[in-house]
Parts: sequence; C-alpha cells; structure tokens
Amino acid sequence: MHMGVSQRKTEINSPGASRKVSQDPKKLREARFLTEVKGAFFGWQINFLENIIEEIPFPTITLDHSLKAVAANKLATNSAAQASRKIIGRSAQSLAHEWLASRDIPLFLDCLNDDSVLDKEQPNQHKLLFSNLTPVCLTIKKIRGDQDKKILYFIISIKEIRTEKDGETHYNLLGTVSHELKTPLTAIKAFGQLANRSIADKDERASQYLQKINDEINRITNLVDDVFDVSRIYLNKFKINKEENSLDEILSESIEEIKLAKKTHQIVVNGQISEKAMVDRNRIKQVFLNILNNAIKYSPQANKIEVNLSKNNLAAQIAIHDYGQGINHNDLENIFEKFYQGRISKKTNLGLGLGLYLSQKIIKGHGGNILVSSQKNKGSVFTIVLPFK
Amino acid sequence: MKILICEDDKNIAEAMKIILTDNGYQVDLEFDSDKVLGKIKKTNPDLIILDFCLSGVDGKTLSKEIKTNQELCPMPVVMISASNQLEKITQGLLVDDFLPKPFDIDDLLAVVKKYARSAKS
Repeated sequence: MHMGVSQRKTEINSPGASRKVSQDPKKLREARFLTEVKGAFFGWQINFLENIIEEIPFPTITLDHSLKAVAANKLATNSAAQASRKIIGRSAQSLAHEWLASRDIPLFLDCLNDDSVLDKEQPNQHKLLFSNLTPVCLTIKKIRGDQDKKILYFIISIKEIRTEKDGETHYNLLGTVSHELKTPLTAIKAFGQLANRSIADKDERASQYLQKINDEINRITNLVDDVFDVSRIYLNKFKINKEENSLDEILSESIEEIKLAKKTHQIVVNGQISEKAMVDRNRIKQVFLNILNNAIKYSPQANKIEVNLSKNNLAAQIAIHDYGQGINHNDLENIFEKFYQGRISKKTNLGLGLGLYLSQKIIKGHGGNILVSSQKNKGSVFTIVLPFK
Repeated sequence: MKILICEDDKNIAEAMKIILTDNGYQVDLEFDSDKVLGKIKKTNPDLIILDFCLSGVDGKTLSKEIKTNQELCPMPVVMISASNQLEKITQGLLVDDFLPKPFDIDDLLAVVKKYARSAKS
C-alpha cells in the first residue's frame, strides 16, 4: 500500500520580516535559533553554522548551494559513524537514500531545488513528513543571501518519529515474517520437485515449467534470507563465524552453483589464492554468489565474466569483472546503501537492493573491503579484499 | 533403514515421507513434540530428522534429551530449520547434521544416505 506523503510549510522567518515574539519556551528557542541563523546569514562563516547546528537536538546537517554536505552536528555524525559512513562531501541525494524511501526522494529534492517563495509568510522553512516503515520528519531551513536572496545554505534536521523500541519491534517482526515464509516455501518446493520427478520422462514442457517454478522459489528464498539478515544486522544479532577455509574452494563452489542455473556466461578464473583464510564459509559464498550473479545479470549482452585472484602477505584480492554497460556515476556513490536500487534495477525491477549492502557488511565484518570501479559500456569490477587472519 | 521425522508442518512432513519412501526408506512421522521421545523408544529408528522450531518441546531441547540419554545417544539426529543461520544455531548443540529449509530433494537424500551408511556399518 502506498503510504501518503504530507507536506506543510511552517513558521518562516525571513531576515527582516516582522514577527510576534511568543512566550512559549519552544517558540523562544526557535526564535533564538533563527536569530543565530541570521548571524550566520550575515557572517557566512561555516564554523558559525557548525556551532548553530550543534545546538539542535536532532541529527542535523548543512548543505551548501550545490547540495553537498558541508557540516554535520554530533548527533548526525554519530549515527552515520555507526553505519561506517561519512557525511561531509556527500550529495543530498546520497544522504536522502538513508532517510527516505526511494519514492519520497523526488519530493525532498524538489523542495531543495525549488528556490521560489511559495508562501510569503513562511518562505524559508519546509517540513516534510514521510510515512515510511520508519517515519521521519525533515525540517529544511533555507538560508538566503542578503542581496540577491539566493539560497546559500540548507540546514536539514532529521527527526525519526519512532522510539528505539518501535524499531526493535519492527525488525523483530521482519525477522519472524521472513522465517515463517520459509515453511510454505519448503512444502511448495518439495512437492514441486516431486511432481517434476514424476513427469520428467513423460512431459518435457511441463517439467520445464516446474523447473522455472523451482527457480523462482529459490529467488524468493534468497530475498527472504536477505530481509532476515537485515533484521539481524539492525538487532546486532548478525554474526560472522570465522574458521580456516580455502577461498579458492569457496569460489569454485560458488561458480559451480551458478553454472547449474545460468549457462549464458563463461566464468574464467585467473590465478589462485592457495593460502587459507579465516573466514565464514557460508557468508563469503553468499558474497561471491551475489557479485557473480550481479555480474551476469547486468551484462546480458556479454558472455564472459573474469575473476582475477591475487594476494600479498596480509590479504587476498578477488576482482570480479563483467563486460556490461557499466554503472551510472550517481549510482556508484550509493551502490552499497541499504535498499538502494540503481537506474537499471529500478527500470527492470530487479531485487530489493540488499545484496551489495549485505556483501559489504559481510566483508567489513571480516576486516576487509569491497571496492567498485566502472566504465560506461566497458563493464564494472568489484574488488573484494579479504585479510587472511 | 528406519527414519523418524519430527516435523509439525504436515505438508512438509508428508513431502519428506514421500521422498524417502520412494527411495526405499521406512519412515515414521511424529507431529507432536511431546510424544517424540516415546516414539523413539518404541520404534528404535536408525535416524531422527528433527525440526528446530517445533511447537511444544522445541527441537533444541529434544536433541539435547536424545543425545544425553545413554540409551538413545548413538542415534544420529539431523536438524532441519527455516533459519539461514542454522550452523550458528547448531553450534553447541548435540546434533549430527543439519539441513536448511527449503531444501532440494537431492540434499535431503544426500544427508540421509550419509547416515544410511553408518546405520549399516
């Protein structure tokens, strides 16, 4: 069901505009804040803006006129640091993907880009209420130049309209639902495979249809597993169990599994790691499968995937190269974000946008990293660096 | 070879029974976790397939009771579960193997075959 987005604009205090002074402490705090904003307005000192936003009791960031983050208060920095992300230098669009559902991002960006004064009484502040899984209220204050009234800075506060307990309940529910879905999937899969075995010799076409049903059950199972993993990450219950394993073996197993389902591409492995690494076998296989599957999915015109293996004393490097159309520059910046869907995924409705998010979490959980580089019409390379210990 | 399946979802239990009987195994079903220990003592199976999330006494408690009972402990126990973190669940548990749900017929047969060999030896 599409949840509505309500938008309202409140309490604008443009520099120079007359206003009533309220005795309400909340209003007084706001009036003080706006006076300080005016100070910033006349001084244009970014450190002054930093001091102002530090006083705001919600995660708050400042964007410059080009919509790049130039300042963030401690609350914003801390919450981003928990997710191992930086804020300064990132675009409004990239940050919006952390706060909002994809469908709400255009409204937010429109609000930033719309320089017109829609309401003479309240021209410089917008409040956007988004009713997502985690509802948020974004307050956007626009700071304009004295002479030309052009927007110089945006101060954006993010207030999540939920308690921590709500979040826990929500993710616990996600975990339970994804777990419960597996019970009917198990019965459907088992009876489907039984039916296929009974008719395989008699009706080739029906057997192929049943095989397709089986493939789709596998796809649903993977999606359900991803949602379950996301709920575990939120609840700090996502564990990596490292044991001594051969990365060559895990890679080879993953390639064999993919070859059974997808015969469109040849997967060529160059080199060998040889040395064993302390890794969670299943989780690393999950990463290899995800990146190899993506490589095939996003290079439908090509017929080859290359995997280049190398190592140094400390770490192994696995570079997976596809020869597809490459990744859009804007998508590259956000590709590891939770629920992020790139241009092609959105168009083709491929997946939930969790595979690369989980892959990065898994690799970082091993003390490693995933890097991505891409060239238009030449393809993309996902490079996994995994320490041996 | 006699196999006891303890699974409270009747469709899954039925599918497993068909798969295994079609492949020459003798299968007993038990849907009620409270009756599992009694059934084991009565039927003396060569392999027990146990769901982790049974209503009533859960699979974890049952596997512990089986494996700490001197009379029953040599019986191999295969745990099945819908959790994709079953290896973590089974860590510290006294089970012999596990199978994540949903499973392929071939995976079920492979794990049973492993214990069919030990049952004969």
